[in-house]
Amino acid sequence: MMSLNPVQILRYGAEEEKSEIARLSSFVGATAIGDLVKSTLGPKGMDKILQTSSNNETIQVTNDGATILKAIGVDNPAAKVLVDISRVQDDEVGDGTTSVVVLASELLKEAEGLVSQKIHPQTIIAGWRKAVDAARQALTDAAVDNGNDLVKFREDLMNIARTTLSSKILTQHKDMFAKLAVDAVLRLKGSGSLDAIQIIKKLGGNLSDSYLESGFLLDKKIGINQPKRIEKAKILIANTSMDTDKIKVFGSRVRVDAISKVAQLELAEKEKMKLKVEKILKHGCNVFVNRQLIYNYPEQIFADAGVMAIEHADFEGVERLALVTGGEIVSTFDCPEKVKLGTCDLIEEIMIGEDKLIRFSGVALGEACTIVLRGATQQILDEAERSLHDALCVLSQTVKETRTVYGGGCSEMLMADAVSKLAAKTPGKEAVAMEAFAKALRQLPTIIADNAGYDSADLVAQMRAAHTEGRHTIGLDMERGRVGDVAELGITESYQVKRQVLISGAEAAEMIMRVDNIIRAAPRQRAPDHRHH
Amino acid sequence: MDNDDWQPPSEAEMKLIKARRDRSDKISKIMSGYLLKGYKMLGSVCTTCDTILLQDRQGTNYCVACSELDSDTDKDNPLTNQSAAQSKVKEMEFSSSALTSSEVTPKESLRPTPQSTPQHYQSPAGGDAVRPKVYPANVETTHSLYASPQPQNWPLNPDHQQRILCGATAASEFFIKQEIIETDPQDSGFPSLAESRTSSIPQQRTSHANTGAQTLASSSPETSAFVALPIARLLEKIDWASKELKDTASVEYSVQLCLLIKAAAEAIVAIRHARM
Repeated sequence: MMSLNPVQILRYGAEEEKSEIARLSSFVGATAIGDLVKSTLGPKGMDKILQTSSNNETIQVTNDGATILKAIGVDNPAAKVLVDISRVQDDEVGDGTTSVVVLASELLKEAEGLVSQKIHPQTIIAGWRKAVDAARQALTDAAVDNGNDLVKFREDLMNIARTTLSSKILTQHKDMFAKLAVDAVLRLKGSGSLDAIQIIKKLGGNLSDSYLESGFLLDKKIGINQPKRIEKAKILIANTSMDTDKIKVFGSRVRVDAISKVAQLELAEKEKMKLKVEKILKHGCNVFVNRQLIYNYPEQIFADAGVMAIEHADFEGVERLALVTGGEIVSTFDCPEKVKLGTCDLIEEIMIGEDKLIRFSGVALGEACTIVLRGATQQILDEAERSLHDALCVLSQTVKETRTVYGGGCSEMLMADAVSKLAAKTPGKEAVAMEAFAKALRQLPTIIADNAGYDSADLVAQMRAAHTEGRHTIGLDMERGRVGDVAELGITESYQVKRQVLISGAEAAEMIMRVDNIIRAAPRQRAPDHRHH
Repeated sequence: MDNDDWQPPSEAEMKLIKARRDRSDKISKIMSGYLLKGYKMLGSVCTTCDTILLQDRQGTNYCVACSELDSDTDKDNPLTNQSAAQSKVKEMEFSSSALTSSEVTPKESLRPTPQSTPQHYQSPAGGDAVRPKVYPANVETTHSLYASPQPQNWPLNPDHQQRILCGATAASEFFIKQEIIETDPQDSGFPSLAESRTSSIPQQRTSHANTGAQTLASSSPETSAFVALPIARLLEKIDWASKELKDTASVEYSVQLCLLIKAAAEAIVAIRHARM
């Protein structure tokens, strides 16, 4: 007769979870991730401390969802999807990393309820797709475009910057930093590339000592005995080795048969270096910037020639400098006429805190600027940099896509209202799914109110009533703990950010919903490593 | 897809759904706490309860549901849950009353009210004068019943272990607990309540735990001497307990016996005082 022994289909060591178990494990994993970052949402959200377990126990204090999620360990596939979504949101838009994770996990929580009511996941997904369309349409209709009116647009940008920074540590000096960010972004004149804005962190002072520098700052020192101030500079940017005694070929040796020969070698090297420097000087530059080090002998020659030599500028430094001053990065110095030198009006050495930096002002690329951050501890500086980076990303996105929507939970309530209205008109089980979608959207303002400690149920109910009546500018006022008109309060968000949050969150939830079978590959058998020597 | 035969779920089903949802909400909250502490969320699930496993930095796996939450079916387990035990008592009473019809009526009419039992339940934490009478054999049984290991030995959190032990002692205490309600003899309602409970519980325990010695169950509940009888029984109990105390080697057991003797003695004093 037929044998009823279980047939081994998967390789030994591989695991498979089917239907209910797979779905349940996905839900719980995703909701755990959502619970993790929930408490950082909103203006009264709290930060988290992340501690690395490696030998150097560094500490990070952060409010940014993507940063937190990068630091926790997950192997669970559903949770990994959420962590990825957050990272993509961070890369694409910069802000809304926490909102997207929370939205996705709330959707999944609702979906779990629906599935246990015996509604098929495909029905739920079909309903959600319709809901997303309705929500997106409602959001687009509610967006305000002030791109043509410069004054109003600047006002918008200030509000957006303030809203973005309101949940971070910079909220103490919200206005100052908002102005900083808006000024920096407006200088870009719509180019959208944030490379021209450099952020420098200097420990010491406090946050309010930060400022925007219109030139370009290089965090390096000038060589000894060289002029500290040069006007009308011509800058040669190089990526070459100005050291002589390092043998660049591994394992090669130089053998001589007498000590006098060693002295001859040294002399030859010195001669070679002298020739090199003379070639450089033929370019007619008065500033020489090298990526790596410049040895003392060439430094001395430069000093004699009155040329400012800067070493250790690193890849980032030389690339930024090249971008900003308009020069080329060279490695050989045989053809001076083919090389483009960078220009700048004034180079001088300044002091911030206890460190000396070199400032290049009046650079060729007028958009370049530097933001100098001061702070009491390294953690504050890191978090300030992250927050400012987020704000700058959002602002540069807004400059490209000038529409704005209202924040403070208003747009979520608006979208939920539109979805509910559509659900009331839809026959069948899909209406149940759409109503669940609206409920998940309403959870976002609920969480914001919860984090602030106010009565979330009451506030959300008031908002819901207001939106159903048609007053679409009502949102949460967390300063006073009640609902209010967000247009007056100036809580504005970028349309692009909200749209991305909606679409990415819904997509992630849909993807996890569609899973009904998890197959785990057997771990790869590693051949034992016998390399002892 | 045929949607016609789908009905919205009924009340009972909604309750079940809500209970399950609350449970998974609790699980995910606890899990998020552990994630922040540095645990890693694995891709595999626990074999007993299908919750996602967490792995700490040393590499040991940990299931939050098995170790910290009562399982779904715990609420039906009379050993750990008070209302389940209560319902079991009622069931036993009901089945026994079907056999012995004559004694039923007073008991039935004076059904033990649930309100008094919560006070019992609080006593493990506090310590009040009315202490449980201990039926030793049953203590052993209930302890052993509870001691049967869970399918997988998760490293228990130390504070949760405490709670489990408390739960075990609470359960056994509930089973064996009787409240001798010290009131005026004139108040006929209560003592008979006590008597009825006294007799009903031993009956239930007999069937449940299959032990022999029941000193009180044999004697008839309704007697005229309300006060003399309890004192006699208490003295009997003290007698018996001191005998057991002599024989026992277990520390737990002796502690329980001492508590029993103390409670019985206090009860005697209270009765005598009430009589005067």
